Amino acid sequence: MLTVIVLVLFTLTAALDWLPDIKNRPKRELGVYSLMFVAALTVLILYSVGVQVPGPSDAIRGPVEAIFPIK
Amino acid sequence: MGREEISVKQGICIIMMFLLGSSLVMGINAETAQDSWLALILAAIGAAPVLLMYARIVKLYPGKDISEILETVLGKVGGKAAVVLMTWYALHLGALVLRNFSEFIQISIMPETPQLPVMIVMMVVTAYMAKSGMETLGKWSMVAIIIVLFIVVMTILLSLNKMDFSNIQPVMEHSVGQIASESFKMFTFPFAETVLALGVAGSLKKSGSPYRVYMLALLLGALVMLVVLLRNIEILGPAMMGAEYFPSYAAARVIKLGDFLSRIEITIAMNFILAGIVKISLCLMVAAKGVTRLFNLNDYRRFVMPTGLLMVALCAIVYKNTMEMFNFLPIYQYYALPFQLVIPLIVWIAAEVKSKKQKKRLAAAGA
Repeated sequence: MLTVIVLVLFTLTAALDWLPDIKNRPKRELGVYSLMFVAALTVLILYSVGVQVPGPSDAIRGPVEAIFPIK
Repeated sequence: MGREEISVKQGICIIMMFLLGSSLVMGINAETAQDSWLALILAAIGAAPVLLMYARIVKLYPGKDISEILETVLGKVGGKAAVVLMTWYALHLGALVLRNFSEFIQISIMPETPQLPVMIVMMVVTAYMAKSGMETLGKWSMVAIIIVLFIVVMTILLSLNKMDFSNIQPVMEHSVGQIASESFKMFTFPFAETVLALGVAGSLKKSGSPYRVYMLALLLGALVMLVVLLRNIEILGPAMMGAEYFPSYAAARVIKLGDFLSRIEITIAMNFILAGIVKISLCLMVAAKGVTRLFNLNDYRRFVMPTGLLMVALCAIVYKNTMEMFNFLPIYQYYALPFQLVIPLIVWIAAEVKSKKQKKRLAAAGA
């Protein structure tokens, strides 16, 4: 069910936000948009099917705990 | 794209709502129990010079956003690196607030509903707000702050008979060190988070004083937080308040007026939604502006939706569970410091030096 919700969200975003005016957009803009779109889609699809995607919290926790005295 | 302008009043309301964002519901649940109000006052006093520094940066570069200021002050490479950091912070903070919101909804209101649909709905609303621009966000904040304040006052008046004013005693039971440590936590969350307001500072009317905006927002925001904190302590008591994930929600739950007025706690959820929309929208706007600046593109509005999607993706994976979310708070206070203090401090010093040099050059040219 979650995967369907994710797919609907991305389809609607593509249809309503990305495709209109696509011909007038500069290539760099399209490239950046596509990159962000695909990255978000990949993470959310993996999350929706139950794959554990590593988050940034552990990567932040390590150095901070090494430097500062946290109980 | 025309320049968006907000008035001083709108600026104050936006920063106030940003401060109240998630802290109204979860942020001011301090470990110092009945001494938390002291920690809050200390945090607000400590935040004042930092917020004045933010205001000074805006004053030195009127009409410019933080990403433009960073490139002007730190040069092309240093500026871009700082823009990457600030954009990441905006995206991450937005994801954290979104997660606070979805956790709150799941724990308090809809325990069977997965969090993802809640995150998506909230993101779509905030993306729409961010796309509408700063003027719309300013107008929304001015209306929403009235509702938020009304709800705070209403919950206090309706719970007067449940309040035990002795709950605030003994005063100074905790050591000065403990209170100072707690106030440092409150300084980073939520006061110094207002560094992100620099990301949209270019929208403030050039005639408006950024000092006034920052200081009044700090004063009023801290006052509302203090009132909410005291309400929670007096209704719940220090022990219960420490045990609750969302003390404001728990405090409002006890309100019952005869047989006809109960379940008032939903108004606390309303407060979270109203203030949360402002906080997440602002984060989204700053992140989208950062992305636009980073790739030398024009209109940030075109990047609001993909940035919002990234924010939801980050929000979904940022914590594994609720415990991790609360355990991250002590980490956050140190993690946020470079974004809230170090980068703005470097920018401020560099901006002051540049401005003095420029003044000298102008004076020499005049002579």
